[in-house]
Amino acid sequence: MGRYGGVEGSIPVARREGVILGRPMRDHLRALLVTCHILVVMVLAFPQPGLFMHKRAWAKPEAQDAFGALSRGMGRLGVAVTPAEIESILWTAGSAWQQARRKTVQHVQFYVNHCGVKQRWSMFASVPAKSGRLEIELEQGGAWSTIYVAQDPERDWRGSVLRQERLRAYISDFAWHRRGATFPRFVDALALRAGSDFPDATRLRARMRTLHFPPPATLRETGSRTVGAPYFETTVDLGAYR
Amino acid sequence: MSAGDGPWRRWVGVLSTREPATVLALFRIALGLICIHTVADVWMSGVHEWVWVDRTEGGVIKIGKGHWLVRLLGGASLETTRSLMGLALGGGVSLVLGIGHRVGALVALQAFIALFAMNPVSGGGHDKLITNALWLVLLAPASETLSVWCRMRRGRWTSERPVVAWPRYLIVFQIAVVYAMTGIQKLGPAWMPWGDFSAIYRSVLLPTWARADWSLVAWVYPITQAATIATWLWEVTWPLVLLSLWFRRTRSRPGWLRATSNRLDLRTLYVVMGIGMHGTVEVLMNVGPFSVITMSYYLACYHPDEVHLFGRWARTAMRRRERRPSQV
Repeated sequence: MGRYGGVEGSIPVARREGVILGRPMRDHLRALLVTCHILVVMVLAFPQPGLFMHKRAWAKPEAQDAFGALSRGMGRLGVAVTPAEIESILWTAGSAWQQARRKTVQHVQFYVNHCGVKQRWSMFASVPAKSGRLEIELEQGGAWSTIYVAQDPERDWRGSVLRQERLRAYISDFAWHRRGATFPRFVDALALRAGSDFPDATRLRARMRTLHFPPPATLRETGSRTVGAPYFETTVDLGAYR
Repeated sequence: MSAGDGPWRRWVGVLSTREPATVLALFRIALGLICIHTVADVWMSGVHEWVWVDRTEGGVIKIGKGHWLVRLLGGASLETTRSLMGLALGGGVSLVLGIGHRVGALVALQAFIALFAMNPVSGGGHDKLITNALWLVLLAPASETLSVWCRMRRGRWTSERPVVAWPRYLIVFQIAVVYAMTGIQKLGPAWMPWGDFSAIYRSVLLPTWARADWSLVAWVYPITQAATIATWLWEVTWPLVLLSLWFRRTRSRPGWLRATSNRLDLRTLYVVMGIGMHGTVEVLMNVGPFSVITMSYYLACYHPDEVHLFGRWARTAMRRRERRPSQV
């Protein structure tokens, strides 16, 4: 027995006024509010298919590969189902859940937004075999030089801020080929800083470059990830930023 | 069974449990330090000038009207951002000191919500863990001990005056939800047998997440596969910690499952594995305050009596160490 009564320690509450079911009214009200909080958290935390319910995303080779892999995995368990059937079942179930969730959440939106109880816990849900890294080049005296490559300590212009977790999270979206339309805005912010750091530089070029993660046996031989094609490449004239 | 013995009455009884505020106070202090570190890290790196100001002032995004607090402070300018960071910092200090902690938590909560809303892309799970924690601390009597308030009110730094325990229960519930939900959403092939359990291997190779080029990880691939399986299982089964806490609370009742869980201290097994996992992630990857805020939730897995017991054990061990040199 603990010091406060009970095994883990409950102190018997001895109040006589406003008692319902042997407990003060206040205790019932508290329990009601805590129960509401728990229900809200559970509804919000349950996976949001809306994040993934995009036909275009489902048509991508990575997604189709996943359906194929799932189909093969089910086949090994003795359940014959085609990748197309899996896609159809998941789409129907996801749409139904999405609709039900939306209706529920709209009633608690105020509590969620103003009390900071957002619940979206999809982290590293899928880890593809490739990603992208940021590269930045500068033109000085007619020649281009690389001033930043992610994870390269030799070319690390403004590295401390570009590595800071909040900017890293922002750049990470580009690494997943997301929000490509906003990449030029990011380059604007880079150019603004480069314009003041390098007064004689004329142009800045930034891009993301695909990095493939080879199988471990290959990586053991080569010692590095496979460098792939550039994307989102954007070049700006620094004169406009001074 | 009478109506008075029904599940609702028992539930009300559980939520009316009272205990010393030690764990809530430690959680309050940890949260305050994390708030201070989160703001200080951003401030010192200068990254707020990139992610939390409008593109017209050198930021990377168009913020627009922004959160109501941003509008109240005059729009998404550098000055507004600095003001919000100052408020969050002040809130963090009040949490650490334990003076006006509810106001401090409210101020920090609203300031962080406003800052995080400016650029949702530049955040992560840690932001939601911080705001959820601030909301729970705001509701909790977390200054009852280990606080300036306690010193002023009671003339000493500590107090064993019991307070409601339900905020501690909600803290454990929250972290159980986080792990279970992130676990069940890890459905990508890399987490599955048909993807060769390559998720951890690939994760540490991500150029935007990894602290360095960890290509050497290829030499310990089987370990990363085992870690992938262990991580997934550990996450999806985290609600078992809630069950183990219930077993500890009701340890006088019979049942081999209850007895086994209590004998093994299942909760501590999960906590130790969590510390190992988050510690490794912290070393290999740049996840901001994610590891520390997540691990601070673990405090709530322990009853204040256990914390007091640990404190006494630590003090005794330190005294023994101090005595040793004089005996030589």
